[in-house]
Amino acid sequence: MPFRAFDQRFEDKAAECRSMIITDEPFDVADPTRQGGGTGAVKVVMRASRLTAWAKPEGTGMHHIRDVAHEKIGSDLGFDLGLPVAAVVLSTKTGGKNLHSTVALSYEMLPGGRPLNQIPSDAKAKLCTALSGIFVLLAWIDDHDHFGASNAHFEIVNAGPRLSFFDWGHSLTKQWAIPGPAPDRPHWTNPAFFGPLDQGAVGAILKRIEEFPIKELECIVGRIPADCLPFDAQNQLVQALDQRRRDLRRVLNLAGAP
Amino acid sequence: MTTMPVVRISRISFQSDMTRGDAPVIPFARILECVWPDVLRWVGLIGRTRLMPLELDAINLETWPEFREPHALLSRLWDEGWNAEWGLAGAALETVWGRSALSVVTEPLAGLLPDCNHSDADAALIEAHPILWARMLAEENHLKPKLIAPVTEMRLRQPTRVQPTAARSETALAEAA
Repeated sequence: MPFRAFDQRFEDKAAECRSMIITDEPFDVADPTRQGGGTGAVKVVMRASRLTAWAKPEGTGMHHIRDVAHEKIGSDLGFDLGLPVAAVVLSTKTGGKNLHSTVALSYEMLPGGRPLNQIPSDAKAKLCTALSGIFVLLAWIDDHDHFGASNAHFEIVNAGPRLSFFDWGHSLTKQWAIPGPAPDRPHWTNPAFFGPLDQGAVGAILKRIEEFPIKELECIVGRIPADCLPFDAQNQLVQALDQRRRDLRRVLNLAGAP
Repeated sequence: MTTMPVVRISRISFQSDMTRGDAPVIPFARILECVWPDVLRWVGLIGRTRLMPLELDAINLETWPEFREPHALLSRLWDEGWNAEWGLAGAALETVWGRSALSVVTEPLAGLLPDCNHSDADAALIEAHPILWARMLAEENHLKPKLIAPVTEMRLRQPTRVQPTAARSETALAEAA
């Protein structure tokens, strides 16, 4: 059951990002004159590949530093589940850019993407499978920020419409009071945004999550730099993710999903 | 009225390939907004009602059908900006279109208007309007087509020279003799 439909060059980039934690490739801010866009991210251009990405968090403040961890973990989990998420890699080459010493770089994956809440209904119907898969991932990581605004894109190409989800800042430890278990509550979402779910896709992703190797989960979380997510919080986050996936069917049932 | 006006300009453009930093950026519109908080608001929009064929080729019209009718898209952008809270026309557009190929970048324009201490809003507007209007029209220079067909140099046709043939030469020699 295919969920991803990126161009091959971006599939290659995604595989590369999944295999590493920090890139050596320098980057430049795309528009240095711009002071804060209000999106919490700064658009950058990678110096060698000329690919564009969004650096998070914006500014040098520490209060959003866990976004770096959330961006990378959300992207890696989505990639391993085969879902249409943007590739993310960390960078420490942030000197002189009004950025924190470590940022997450979230690549643009669709050349002509536009916000998902503007998608025509016929195209959205064709994306039911991919949206249903993403819905389950959002429930697992307890994401509260994807309701159809500007952090999910679609694009229509000859093969049909395709998706790219990004921005995992408002998930994981932003929602869960670490230390402590993940809250046993219904998954928050906007039903109008996700529409009717593809039960087969929901079941397939649920199965992949339930069978996700715990060692791989520990690896994904455990390689985050400690200045973005302290070691004790990493261990607690692995436990919370492990616990929540066991409850995921019930959590989704509570929200009216299968 | 002693409050200072706040002026912002929003540059709206289309990134022909937002995954590449060196892809052409097609300029589309500008929104200029000036607000005297809680007193007066001035909003202007200038944009392109027609795009060049090469620019349309660079836009994925399946994903962005609005560019088939640029004027209607300009009207929509105007409505979204005008209906936003005062001073937040550009921010509202960024919220709607944020991070997408239709890029909206807003920045303040400091020092455009002189210090004004007018006692009433009408006087402030009379002084500010021509300045704002001229500033907005100046943006026309930044709204020129980005992608146009390359100008090819036409080769001048060389006049054909008639070379004398051997037979003609012989005839000419015979006549001369």
